[in-house]
Amino acid sequence: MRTTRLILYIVLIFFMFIYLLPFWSAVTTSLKTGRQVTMTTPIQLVLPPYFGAYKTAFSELKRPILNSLLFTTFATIFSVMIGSITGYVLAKLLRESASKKLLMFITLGIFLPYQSILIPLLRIITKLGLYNTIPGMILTHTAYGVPITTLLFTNYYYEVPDELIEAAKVDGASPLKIYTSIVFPISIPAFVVTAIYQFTNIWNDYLFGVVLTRGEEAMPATVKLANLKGSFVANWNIQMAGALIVAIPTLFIMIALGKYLIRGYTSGAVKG
Amino acid sequence: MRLKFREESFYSLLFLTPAIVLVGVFIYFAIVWNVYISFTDWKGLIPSYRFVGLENYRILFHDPVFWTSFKNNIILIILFVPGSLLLGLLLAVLLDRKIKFENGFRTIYALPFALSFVVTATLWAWMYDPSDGVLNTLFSILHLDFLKSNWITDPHVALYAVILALIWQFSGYTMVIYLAGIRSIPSEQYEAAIIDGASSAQLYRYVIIPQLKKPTLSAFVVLMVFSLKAFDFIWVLTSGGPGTSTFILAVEMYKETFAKTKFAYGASIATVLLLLSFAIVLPYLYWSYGGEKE
Amino acid sequence: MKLPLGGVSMKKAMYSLLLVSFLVFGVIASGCISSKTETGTTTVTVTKSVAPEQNVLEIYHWWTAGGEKQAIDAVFKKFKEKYPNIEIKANPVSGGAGVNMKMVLQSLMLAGKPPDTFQVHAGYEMSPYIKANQLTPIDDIWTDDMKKHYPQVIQQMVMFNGHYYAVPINVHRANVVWYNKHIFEKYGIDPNSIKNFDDLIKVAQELKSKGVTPFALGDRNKWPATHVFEVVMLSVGGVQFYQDFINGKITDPDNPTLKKVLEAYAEYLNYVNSDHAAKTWDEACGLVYKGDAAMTIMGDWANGYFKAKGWKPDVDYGAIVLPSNVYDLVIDTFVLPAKAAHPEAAKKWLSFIGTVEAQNTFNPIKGSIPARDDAPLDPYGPIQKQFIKDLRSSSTKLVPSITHGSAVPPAFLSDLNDIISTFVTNKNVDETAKSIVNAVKQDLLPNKIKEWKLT
Repeated sequence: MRTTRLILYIVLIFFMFIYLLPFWSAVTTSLKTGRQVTMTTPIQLVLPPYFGAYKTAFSELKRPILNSLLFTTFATIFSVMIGSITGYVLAKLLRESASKKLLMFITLGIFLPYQSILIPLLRIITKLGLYNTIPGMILTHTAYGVPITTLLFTNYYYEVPDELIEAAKVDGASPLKIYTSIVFPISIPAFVVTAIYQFTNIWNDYLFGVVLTRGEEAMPATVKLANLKGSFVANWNIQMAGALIVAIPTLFIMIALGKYLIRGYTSGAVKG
Repeated sequence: MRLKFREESFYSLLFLTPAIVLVGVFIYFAIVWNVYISFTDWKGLIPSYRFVGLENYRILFHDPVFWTSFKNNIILIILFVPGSLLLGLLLAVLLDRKIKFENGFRTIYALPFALSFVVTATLWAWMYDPSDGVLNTLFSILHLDFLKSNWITDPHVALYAVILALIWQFSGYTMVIYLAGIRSIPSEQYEAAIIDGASSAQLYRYVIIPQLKKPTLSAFVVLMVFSLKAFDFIWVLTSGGPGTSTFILAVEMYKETFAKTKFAYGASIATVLLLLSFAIVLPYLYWSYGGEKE
Repeated sequence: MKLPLGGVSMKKAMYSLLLVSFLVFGVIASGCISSKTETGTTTVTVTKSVAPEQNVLEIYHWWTAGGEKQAIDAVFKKFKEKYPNIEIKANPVSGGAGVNMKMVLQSLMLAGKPPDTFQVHAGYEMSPYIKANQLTPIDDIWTDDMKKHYPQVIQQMVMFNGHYYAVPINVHRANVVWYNKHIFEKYGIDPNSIKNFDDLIKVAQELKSKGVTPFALGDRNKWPATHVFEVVMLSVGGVQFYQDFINGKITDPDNPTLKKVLEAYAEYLNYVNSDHAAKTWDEACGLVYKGDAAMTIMGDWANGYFKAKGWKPDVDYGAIVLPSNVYDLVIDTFVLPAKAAHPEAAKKWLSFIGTVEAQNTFNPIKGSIPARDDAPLDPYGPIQKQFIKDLRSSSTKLVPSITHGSAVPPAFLSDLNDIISTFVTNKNVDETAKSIVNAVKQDLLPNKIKEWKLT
C-alpha cells in the first residue's frame, strides 16, 4: 500500500512538471530585461528579477482589463442564466421529441467558425448602435455563448429525477416557482462548470474584441495584450508579463469556483 | 389540468424566448448568410451575389490544400479529443484518492486552460525550439536524447506537436469535469458495490466509468468545438507551416477569405467545417440522449 | 418536502430579483462608462456624439509597441499642435499588415464603417480596396511640391489607373545583410569583400568550415523566408527578372532564371541555422546578437532591434547591401477610405505626413528614412544616412518589395509564403518552380492591375 501511494505521488508530481514547464518559461521571461531575454534560454532564471516589464505591461493593461472584467462577467452571467432556463424547459417541460429537435436547433450554432460570421455580425451590431461599446460586447458574447450553455444545462437537467419536479407540481407550484425553488438551487454544480468555461472563453476571446471595438473605451485585455507586441519590435518580457497579468482573473475563477464545485458535490445532493 | 397546461406552455415559451431570439439572429442568420454566400461568386471587397450553384464546392474538392486541411483536421480531432478526455480522466482518477495538496495539484493542472491560446502558442514555440528550447534542453540534461525531435520545424511531426500542446491546454478542464463527475456519484452505489466485494478496478469499470457518460458528453462537445475552430493557436505557433503541414480548415478559411479576399470560396470552406461538425456531433448527441427519459 | 441544498423559495425569489436589477443596472452603467471615460496615451476624452463632426480623426495603424509607437506618437503630437481642434482616436492593431488588420479592416469596410484613415503598405496591399472603390483618389493632396520631391518609383507604388491613392510617410530597406562585426573581425572577414551573392556564399563556406553558423533565419511566421527569397532573386536573377516576375511574366516552370534563383536559395539554405522554422525574425537577429550566427538577411528594422539590445552600429554590427545598387522598398502609407466619417480631418492628416516636418519627426525615431528627397539628414544615424544617400542617388535601382505588400497582389503573396515555406524544408527546386508558376496563373495574373516599370 505504501509503495502504491508513493508511486501515485511521483506520477502526480511528474505531471505537475509537465504542466508547469511552459508557465515557467513565461515567468522567467517576464522577469528579465530585453537583453537578458535574448541572451538566455527560457528555462533559465535570472536573478535579481527585473520588474520593469511588469510595470510597463500593467500600466498599458489597466483599462482594457477593466473593460474585459465588465463585459466578461455580465456576458457570462447572462449566457449561463439563459442556458439554465432554456435547459430547464428542454429537459423538463417539453415532450422528448420537441425537446430533442429544439436542442439540435440551438446547439448547431456551437460549431460556427467565428471568422465566417464577422461580416453579418458587424452589420447587426452596427445597426443596433452598439459598435465599440461594452454592451455590444456583452450582447455578442452572450449570444454566442447560449448554444453551449444550453447544451451543458440540458445535459445536466436530464439527470435530475423527474420525481422532484412532479412532487412540486402536485403541490400546485408554477413552472417559475419550480425553477426558482427547486431547479435553480440544485444547478449549482452546472452553473459553476459552465461559468468557468464561459468566463475563460469570453475573457480569452480575441477575434470579436479586435473587430467590434475601436479604441480604448471597450477594448478587451486580450486585444491590448496582442498590441504589447509591436510589428517590428520584439519585447518578449513585456508580452509575457502582460500575458500572466491577463491570465490572473481566469486563474482566480478556476481556483475559486473549482473549489466550490468540488465541495458542492460531497453532500451527494445531486443524485438525491 | 387545462390551466396547468396553459401555464406550463406560457412559461416554456417565456423561458425559451431569449435563447431562440439570440440564436436565431446571431447564429442562424449568420449560417444562412454564409451558406448563401458560398453559392455566389463573391471575390474581392465588392459584394457579389451572383448565383453559381456548387461551383465553389467543385473547386474546393479538387484543391489539394483543402484535402490537406481536411485530413489534418480529422487527425487533430481523433487525437486531440480522446487524448484530452483520457488525460483528464486519468488525472481525475489519480486525484480522487484523498491526496494531500489535492487543491494544489488540481490548480496546477488547470492552469493552462486559463491562459489565452495566443500566449500558450508562444510558450510552446519556446518549448519546441529544436536547438535551445525547453524540451530538447531538458532531454539533453536527462540523457534522454532519443526523445529529442525537430518538433514544429519538421513537417512530419509538426501537426502532432500542435496536438500535444492543445492536449496540455485542455486536459485541466476535462480533469475538473471528470473529478466533479466522479465525486457526484452517490456514496450508496460505492457502498453497495464494496459490499458485493468489488475490487478497485471493478469499482471503476462498473460503477464509476458508466456514470461518466454525461460529463464526457459536455467535455466532448467543448473539445470538438475547439478542434474545429483552433485558428489563433495554430497561427501563432506555426502559421499553418512548415508549408501546409499544420493547415486545418479554419486556417485555410482565414487565408482564402481575408488574405485572398475570396469570400465565396472561404464561405464554402466554412460550410464544410460546419457540416463536418454536425456529422460528428449529431450522432453522438442522439446516442447520448437516446432512451434517457423514461 | 425536503429541498436538497436548503433554502426558502421566498428568499430565493428575492435574491433573484435583486440579482436581475443589479445586472440591468450594471449593463446600463457600463454603457455609460464606455462612452465617457478618459483613455490612455494618445486619445483624448471622447464624447458620445450623434453626428460625425469634422474634428475627429479615427486612424488605424500597427505601430503598437516600443520605438515604432514612440515615433507615431511624436507625429500625432505635432499634428495636434497644428490642428488643436482635431481629436485623434488612434486604434492600433498589432501584427502589421498581417492577420488581424486584414480581417478587421475588410470586415469594417464591408459593414460600411471604415476608419477615417488607415496604414497600409504602398502598392498591391491596397489593391483590394481600390478594386472595390473603397478608397478615394487623393490627387488634390499630391501637390506639385510633393510630386517633385518623391522618387518616381515610390509615386508609382501609390498610383493606380493614373490616380494617387496614398501618401507614404517613410521608406524601409529590405535588401540588407546584417552581420556581427566581432565574428567578422575574429575570422578576418572584410565586409567590403561581399559584393554579390557568390561572395556571400564564399564567406558562408569559410565560416561554416570554422564551425560558425553563417546565416540566421527565423521563418516561423513564414514571411522572413519569402523576404530572403526576394533578396536572392534580386541578387541572382537581377532587376529585370524581378520586374518580369512581379509583372506575372514568369509562367514557365522551366524558366532557367527562376531555376537559378531557387538553386541559389537552396545553396543558401545549406548555411542556415537548423532550427529556423521554430524561430521568429527577431529571434534570428538574436542569434546574430549572441554570436551564434554571423549574418541575417532582414529589413532595416533589424537596426532598431540591435540598438534596443545595446549594440552600436559600426562597432558591434554592420550592414551590407545586396545587391549594392538596389533599394528594395518597404513603404508605409496612409489612405482615404471612401466612406470615411471625417474625410476633411483625414485629408489634413494625409497632407501633413507628406511634409518634411512630419517625416523628420517620425523616421529618426522609427529607424526608417524619409520618403521625401528634400528632408535634411542631420537627425539620422550613420546607417540611415547612408541609406538616404542611396535612395536619392540616380544610380540606385528602386524596386517594390514582394514580401511586404507592394509588388504583388495579396492573394499571390499568401500563396508564395506557403510555397517558400515548403521549399525551405524540402529544397525541391522543380516542384517549387511549378507551384510558383501555378500561383502566378491563379492568383497573380487575375488580380493584376498595374504594370511595373523599374528599369
